[in-house]
Amino acid sequence: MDSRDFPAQAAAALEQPTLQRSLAAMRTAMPGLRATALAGLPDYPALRARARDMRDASIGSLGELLRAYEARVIAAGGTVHWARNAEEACRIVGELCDAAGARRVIKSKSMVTEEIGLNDSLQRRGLQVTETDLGEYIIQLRGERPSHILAPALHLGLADVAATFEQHHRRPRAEPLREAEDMLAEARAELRAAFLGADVGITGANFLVAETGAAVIVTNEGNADLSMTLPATHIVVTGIEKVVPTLEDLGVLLRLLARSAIGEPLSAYTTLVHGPRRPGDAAGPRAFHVVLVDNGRSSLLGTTQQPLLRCIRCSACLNHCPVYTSVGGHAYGSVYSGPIGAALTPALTGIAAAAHLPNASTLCGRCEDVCPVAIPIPDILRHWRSQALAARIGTGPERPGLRAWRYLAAHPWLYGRVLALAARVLRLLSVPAGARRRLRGLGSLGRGWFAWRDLPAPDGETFQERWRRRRLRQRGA
Amino acid sequence: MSARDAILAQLSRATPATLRPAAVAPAPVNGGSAVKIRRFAAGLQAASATFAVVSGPAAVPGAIAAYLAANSLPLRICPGEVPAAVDLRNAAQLEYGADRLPDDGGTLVTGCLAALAEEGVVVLASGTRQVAADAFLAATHIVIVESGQLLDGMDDLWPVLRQGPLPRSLHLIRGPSRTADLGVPSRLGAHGPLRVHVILVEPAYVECADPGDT
Ligand code: SF4
Repeated sequence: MDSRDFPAQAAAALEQPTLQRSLAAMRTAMPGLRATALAGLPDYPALRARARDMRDASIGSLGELLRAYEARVIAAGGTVHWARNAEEACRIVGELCDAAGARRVIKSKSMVTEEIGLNDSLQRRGLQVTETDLGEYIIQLRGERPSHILAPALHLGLADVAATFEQHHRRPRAEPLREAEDMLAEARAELRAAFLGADVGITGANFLVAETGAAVIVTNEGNADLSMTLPATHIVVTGIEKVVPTLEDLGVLLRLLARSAIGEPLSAYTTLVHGPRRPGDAAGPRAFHVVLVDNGRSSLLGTTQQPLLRCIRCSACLNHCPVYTSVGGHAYGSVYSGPIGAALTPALTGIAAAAHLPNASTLCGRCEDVCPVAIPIPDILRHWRSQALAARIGTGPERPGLRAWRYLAAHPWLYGRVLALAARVLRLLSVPAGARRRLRGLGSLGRGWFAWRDLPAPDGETFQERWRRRRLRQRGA
Repeated sequence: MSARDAILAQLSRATPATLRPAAVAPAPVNGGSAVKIRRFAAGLQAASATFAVVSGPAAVPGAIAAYLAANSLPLRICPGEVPAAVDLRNAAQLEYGADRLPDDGGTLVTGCLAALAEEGVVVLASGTRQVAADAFLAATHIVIVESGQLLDGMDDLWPVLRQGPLPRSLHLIRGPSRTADLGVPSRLGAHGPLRVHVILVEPAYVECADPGDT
């Protein structure tokens, strides 16, 4: 899948019944859950403003905060690595695994590791990598990409999961898998063995706290806790923008994250981890590493896209987007999908490869409304649209169309004439429907639109004409 | 130039923003201890955890046995670090298991560092006992909360953490392990415990309203 093929991929997604069923369920359920959870807060607008300002302040002093965080991790006995790009990050993690003599790696879900293509890179080194988030595990078995930031297997139904497990889990089975409970039990058993046999555990981090040197990891399954407690080595791979100053600042984001994401006050497990096992500790890894990944983030500083760095990956913008909830995540062809993906991907991959994504939006503004850190996503999408146009990317019909429109708009007399003509022609093409007339088709033009909807027909007269008539009448009276 | 220096040099171009001295994040309205207990119970319930209150440490073993019996679970427990006043070893009602969990999960009993009423959360810390790992491997996790440990909410936790040496890992646990990856409704017991049961030791219990009555 490639972002360049968005139109074809989106069209295909509309024809996938399982995906459409999941998306419809999400579209109906999520907005209400989120709204109820936020209504339980004493003053959501104030908390949101606080979160936005705190993230801005943190991004303004990222260097300072990361140095403080690094000093804390080192003092606790851990090591911090810095990676300029995906390749560097993968190499660092690979070398750490080699140094640990690792063969088996377990991972908890992390978008940054998707972004840098870590699994492929580790597998090329001969390591066996197992994703432990259930959804991520399922799509790993199927060789697919996540279709949602938090629910990576959203596009699959129970029957797909059953088929995947039957194919990959080599276990005697009296009858085919049918019940969700049985699938869960099977995955639990398979993954428990993976947890207990792993040499290295890799997790992301939702946040880093400069004050204490904590990496903060949030899950509902508890898989990150097992991934970071059982193996002898724990490697945290995360973006440089995740750091916040203090524990109170962390509290502000935690109070927003799960409420925005899943409509609950907190996820089932929120874990703060500060380094390797200490003398006398009964559990925990002997070695603890943090890999801080830049991969294009620092180049957003000082640009109009800088607010993207505030993102806490809650996925509220996906769940509320009319485009995402129609086509799902795979259509975008990028690691990050939905509104945040459309705004972020051009910054990560360049506008040439992602020129369709900023257009995958109606600019209705719901993404900005529901964003807990108030990222102006529509403004950023508009910025990318004008970049693409200026760079002459996408030679679609829009360029001559826009040029014609500009000419018309700059010549009022001609504008009036053309509109008057159009109003009459459209009326002629319309059909009676009740008291009014409606437009049901325009020949070969807009066939996709008219297959499902119609349009109210113009009255055959433009506003300017009517206004002129009214003025004449008034003068005559 | 090392990657570290290169990234930090790039970051130094950022324009520092000052954090407007906004009103500190608004705190939930707090009530007395009865209100707090009621909110804690409601929070746990919303997270598919269960809750009981006892009036003193001596009543804890009985409450554990009652819970296990009610759920048709064996009376055998694997004890983690529990409050000193709670004596599980000599409790007649319970079978005191080995220090290690059985392979099928078993029942783990632990204390906690704190509990948060607002979020319905118990906070566990890593330490000299196997707690941190076992809390994710057990099938059933019973958590004993002493009355002084119940805080109003998350914002009250941070000062408590600053008082002592920071534990290696801190786990804010809100109910059993769950997943939404097999459709709606969420399924419990994805990797970690299928059941989380919280027992609050509250001497003033008799004076509270029924904690379940929310
Ligand atoms: S852009 Fe805002 S709403 Fe979207 S994932 Fe990021 S924080 Fe959430």
